[in-house]
Amino acid sequence: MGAAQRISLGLVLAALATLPFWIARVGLYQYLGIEILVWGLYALSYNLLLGYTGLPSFGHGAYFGVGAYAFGLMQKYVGANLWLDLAGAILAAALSGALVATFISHRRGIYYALMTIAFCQIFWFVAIKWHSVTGGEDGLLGLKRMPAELGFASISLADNVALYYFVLVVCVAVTALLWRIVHSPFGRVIQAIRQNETRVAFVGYHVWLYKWLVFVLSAGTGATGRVSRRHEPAFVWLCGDDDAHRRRAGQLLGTLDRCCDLFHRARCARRAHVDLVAVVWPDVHGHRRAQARGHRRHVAGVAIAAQCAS
Amino acid sequence: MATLEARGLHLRFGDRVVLEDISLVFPDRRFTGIMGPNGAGKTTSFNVLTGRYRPHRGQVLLDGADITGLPPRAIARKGVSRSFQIMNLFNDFSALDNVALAVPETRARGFSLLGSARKDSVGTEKAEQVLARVGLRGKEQVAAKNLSYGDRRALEIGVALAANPGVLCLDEPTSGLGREATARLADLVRGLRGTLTIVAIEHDMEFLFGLADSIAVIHWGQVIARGTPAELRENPWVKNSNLGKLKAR
Repeated sequence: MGAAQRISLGLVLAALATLPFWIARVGLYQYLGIEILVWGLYALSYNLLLGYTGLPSFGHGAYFGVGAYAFGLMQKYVGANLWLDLAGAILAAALSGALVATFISHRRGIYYALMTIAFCQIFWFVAIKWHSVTGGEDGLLGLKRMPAELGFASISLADNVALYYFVLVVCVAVTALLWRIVHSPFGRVIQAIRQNETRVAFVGYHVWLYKWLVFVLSAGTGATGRVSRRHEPAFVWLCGDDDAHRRRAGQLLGTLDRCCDLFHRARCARRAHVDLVAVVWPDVHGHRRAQARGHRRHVAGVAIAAQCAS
Repeated sequence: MATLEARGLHLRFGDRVVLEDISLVFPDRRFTGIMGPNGAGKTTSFNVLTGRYRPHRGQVLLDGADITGLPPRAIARKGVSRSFQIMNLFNDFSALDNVALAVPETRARGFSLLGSARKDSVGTEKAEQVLARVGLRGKEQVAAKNLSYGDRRALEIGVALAANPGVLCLDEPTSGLGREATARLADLVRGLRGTLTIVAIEHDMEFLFGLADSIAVIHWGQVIARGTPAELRENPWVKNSNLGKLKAR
């Protein structure tokens, strides 16, 4: 990392670390800080797949949704322990990613993308129709914010500021992990796959396995942020069958342009803080417009995932 | 010992027969050339030899062992490397990274998620040696897309050499090169002769006839002639075809 990159990364971290103190003064609200972090992490995990490996996944929100549902279901039926439920959610997201990746990793480009959409639709139908487990369109209700048990202390996350710092720690940790991965030998191979998949196979690499693994990593790391931010599962779909969903779908398609730009920038820049900034801007901007209209909707920084509750 | 052999290869794409009873032997540490008009089935033969296609009939043997239908990664790991007619490089990577990626020691660390790609001393060292061998010393840090066409052709061969193969398959290595660059490439390949088995598809007759120990001619998916360069000069088909219009040397 060059000096300029280090400085700008430091500034971004400083801004994020002090966010609870200045966010209200600029006319926004505390919870938005959490949204920013989570969408940023989502973008970074997605970038691992699209930016670094060149694999377009249009149904990626499905795994984040699975993670969120797993978190809620574990809290209800297994045990209300933050760490256990978090681990279970990440595992569930990674496993569902692994399952889908098994069927698509032999393809690339548009064929790969179409198959990801198909699988996303399967997840969507299951989430909507399996009312007894997922709550259907209502989602899982009655979930609580659990305290972070550290053995020697128990930190309540009921306050938005406390939750923000918890999410910040998780996001920084996962970001550091992602940075490590892309600078590892594995990271070099997946970049080679993006540039020339054929040649990678002809120099002796098991390309299918690399593509499978990067999909699983992307699903798992993205879910980490999603789950830690909110305790009501938010889910993903592009084709709603009611007015609100259609409007949202229209919004999403409208932001697709901006998001392709986002991904392109994320790909070219490939620096953690640039990704975060690129995600924050549409999120904050969208919120301002939504507030003016009197709705509590906001345009997501990433085309695929959308918040459907509240 | 690295003898590659094709026995009775048949390949069809739908109704179209593209290879018919192709039988060729590429002896250990000899340079064998393959020539023929466009669409004859030369590159398709390479694709069958290196695992991209599975033939409907016939076998591919490496030192007597059957490697027919194995995936490209398996055949590459057995020491059969190929370069491509349309260059297949990692354009954003430096020349050094292009070659280092193909080094077996680097490949073995491929699944290391938490290691550092930078700290790859064996891969880097071997890659530097290969780059020096193909005439790219001093250009290690240049991105592949920024190299000149001739240098990219050399890098293409460099990536194939990185794995220290027993068999090197070159698909039209002089394609698009001018006289000087072709001469440089001929020197490069001459330096490799005798150290490994080389199979080269070529349209440039001077290049091929100057380097090959034996040449096979493929036309319409069949081997129609084979022999030493001197024998082929007298072959009536070669003499009468466009391929036969060589300047006397």
